[in-house]
Amino acid sequence: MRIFEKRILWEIAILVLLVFGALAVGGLIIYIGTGVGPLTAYGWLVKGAFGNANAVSETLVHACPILFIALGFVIAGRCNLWNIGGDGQLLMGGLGAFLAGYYLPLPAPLLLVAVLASAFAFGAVWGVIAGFLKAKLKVNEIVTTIMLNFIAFFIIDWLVLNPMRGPMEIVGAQSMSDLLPQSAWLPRLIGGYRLHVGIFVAIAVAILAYILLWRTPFGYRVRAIGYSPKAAEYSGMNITRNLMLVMVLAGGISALAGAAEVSGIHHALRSDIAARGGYASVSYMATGIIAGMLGRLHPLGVIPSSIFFGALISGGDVMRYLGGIPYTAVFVLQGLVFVFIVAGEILIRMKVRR
Amino acid sequence: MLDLTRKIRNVVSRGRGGKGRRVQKGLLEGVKRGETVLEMKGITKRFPGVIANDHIDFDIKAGEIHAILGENGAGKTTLMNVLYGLYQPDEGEIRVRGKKVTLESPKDAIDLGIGMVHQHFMIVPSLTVTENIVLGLKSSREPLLDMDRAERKIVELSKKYGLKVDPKAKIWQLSVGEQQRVEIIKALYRHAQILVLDEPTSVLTPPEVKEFMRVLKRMARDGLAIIPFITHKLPEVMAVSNRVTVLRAGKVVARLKTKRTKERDLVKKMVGREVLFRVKKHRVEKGKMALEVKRLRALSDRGLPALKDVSFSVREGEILGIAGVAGNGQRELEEVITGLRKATKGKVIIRGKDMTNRAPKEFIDWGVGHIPEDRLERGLVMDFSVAENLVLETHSKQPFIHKWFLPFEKRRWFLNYDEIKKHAKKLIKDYDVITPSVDIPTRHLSGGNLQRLILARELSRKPKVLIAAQPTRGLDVSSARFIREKLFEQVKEGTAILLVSEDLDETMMMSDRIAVMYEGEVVGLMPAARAKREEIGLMMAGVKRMSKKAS
Repeated sequence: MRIFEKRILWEIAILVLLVFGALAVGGLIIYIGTGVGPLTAYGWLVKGAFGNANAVSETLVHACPILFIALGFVIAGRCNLWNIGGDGQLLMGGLGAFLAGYYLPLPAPLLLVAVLASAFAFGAVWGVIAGFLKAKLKVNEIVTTIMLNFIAFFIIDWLVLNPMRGPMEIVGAQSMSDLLPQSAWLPRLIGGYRLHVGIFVAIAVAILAYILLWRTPFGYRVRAIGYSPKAAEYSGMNITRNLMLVMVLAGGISALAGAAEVSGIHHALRSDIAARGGYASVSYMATGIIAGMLGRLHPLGVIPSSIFFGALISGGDVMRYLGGIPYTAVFVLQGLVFVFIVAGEILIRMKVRR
Repeated sequence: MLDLTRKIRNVVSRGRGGKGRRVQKGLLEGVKRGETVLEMKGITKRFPGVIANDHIDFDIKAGEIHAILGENGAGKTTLMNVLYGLYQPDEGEIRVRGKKVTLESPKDAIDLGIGMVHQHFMIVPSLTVTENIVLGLKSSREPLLDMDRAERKIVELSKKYGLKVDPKAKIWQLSVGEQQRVEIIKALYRHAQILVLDEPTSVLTPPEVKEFMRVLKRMARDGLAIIPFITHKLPEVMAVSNRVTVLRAGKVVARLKTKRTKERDLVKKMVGREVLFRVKKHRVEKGKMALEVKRLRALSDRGLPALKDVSFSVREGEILGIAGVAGNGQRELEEVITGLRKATKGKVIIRGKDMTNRAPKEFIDWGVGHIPEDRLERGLVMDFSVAENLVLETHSKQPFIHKWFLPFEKRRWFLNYDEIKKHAKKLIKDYDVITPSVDIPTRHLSGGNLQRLILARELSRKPKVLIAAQPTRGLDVSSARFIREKLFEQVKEGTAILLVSEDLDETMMMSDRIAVMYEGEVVGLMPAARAKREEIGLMMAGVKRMSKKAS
């Protein structure tokens, strides 16, 4: 056992080192671009992420959808499926959450369960489309999940512009639907802050996902198929069925991010819930996938990595207010972390010598 | 990944020990027969926790065949890699014609005149013989290729040594024996004076082996130094080599003139104790029909007919051996009768039940055990722990499931890792699997141990029918023997075994009856007692066939 503990410590040490490497290069870029010294900039970033109660609240608010999407990515990844459909699943989950919250005449606690369940179901359907195509027709899941993102976006976009258009308009932004009744809002934890229960649901789901993958026969099969589909087939596992089930779970869990956004933050359906700050190409999905990689494709590993990226986002806001550093700096940092951990794979896998 | 680390290691050691000294090209030009061309002195190579090579001395003269013999893990591969420049020794030196050399990469070895024929050929199937041979070499007409000239040279070489091969043929069209010849010509084309052969006869049919031996002798007569590395298949090499060096646990345990030794003594030295070369076969009462295959047809991965009306049957307590050169439908047969491949026609009847084209799980539940040919890809999940691998088929059955939800007997919710580990600990003890713990990833185990693991898992399910494909291929003598003994024990308990093996000696020794496969057909079926080696060899090569009713 000792060797495994060493292994894990080694991995964590290397990952931290890589993140610092990315931040160092990012700091240099920020300095070249804006003239702000890296330490000053990162000071603002840390302050913005953890400096006061609101900062911490904002960090966790952003970490929540990232964590859900990272988990959807991780579960599929453990079965060797690349779920790049987080955006689409999030959007469909948002739709599911809204429909349940808006139309179901249930008392508050039950309604919230229904909201989450409905979001899960919508995302599961979205995920299993790719799962079905992969399992039955061997269509590459990367392509289908990405394409389904676009389909989902335009469905939601059309819905909120046409049949579901609400009375309110956001100045300079897309339309949104009518507001959800208050009973369908995810409870906020501290008055005045946006922090809602979603992050705790996400952490609970992460723990459940861990148990599912490492303590149940189903998880055992998922991992066997992920590592070696031929051996899994040999030992009598039903690969088609399991691939589809994995995509049901992955899609459903990613979709909870949509429920968190719709029912926890916006209280209405909008087509820009997946994208952040109007940058369609940098969405919660992109961040979630990077968080999944940084978390070493482990359901518990993605908890800290999602919080890290949540911090980056909320801290990035403060960097902008205080130093005029464009928000895109955050995307640069994210991209650098990705490049560093992918390139650093060789270090992570290096043998631990005694 | 491994390659990458190795490359990095190479780069590192290059920076350290190289000092810019290049290997002298053509050091071996104009060697005379009988001159010592290569010496290795005190070669020592350590890996974390093991000494793979411990002060190994070795020398070879031009015109000599000097075999290196050893079990898996005796240090052969390491020594070979040192000789080919893939590893740098920690101690010791290599001398070529008395001059000390440093081999920093295979390129250095090739430049010096050391040629290597790998066990798994390093040739491109879609290219022609000539294209493969000139691959990576400068042509005389840069930047254009000069195929005519290359072809002429290839023909010249092949005539000189009797290495018959068509330079225009594509590799995939060639038999394994021909592919091996291409590899040898490739080395000769690069002016190899020292030829290293890794398990050269393990893939050949008996007639091909004879032919190969002739070629070896001819090359030696012409002044080449030849070093075959061998794990098993002793007899052939015994027949041609002048000297043998035996390795065990990283050390040289014997160096002998072949003429003055017996095969048995060599094996004893290799294994370190007396090993019965032949496992005792017991007569077992044959029982009911266990496995019946009727006019079976199936397609290969490429969609070509791979099985053409294959029929045979195996009774309880019987071993039916399937002999044949690899690629004649054995793999497809193995897969069809375990549910992994669809039959296009015909029937598979197991213990009275029609199992044609059922799912693998149904075969497993109906008592079919399977030792797959492809151990690493099929037989094991290499990233799973040893314990996890031992419950691949049974992980959702008692006792490996927690009984926490007893009222819902059918709910198989949580794995009971305590039981899984207990099960694993018992099996690794019973099957002498050497592993530091049942929790380590299976990929850290050696070949013999991996196969014991598969055997342990399959036999622990108490199969009624066992499909064993290449159960001892590439294993050291003691692992192979262990596995054969276990198979015999199983037969005594009434299991029907279908033994698919390329090793004709094994098939003849173990089987009650032998079926020979050639190009997807059973071309002969006979009781092992009446089988003659040469006859089976001819059938395997497609020269001869028996009438269908002979069984």
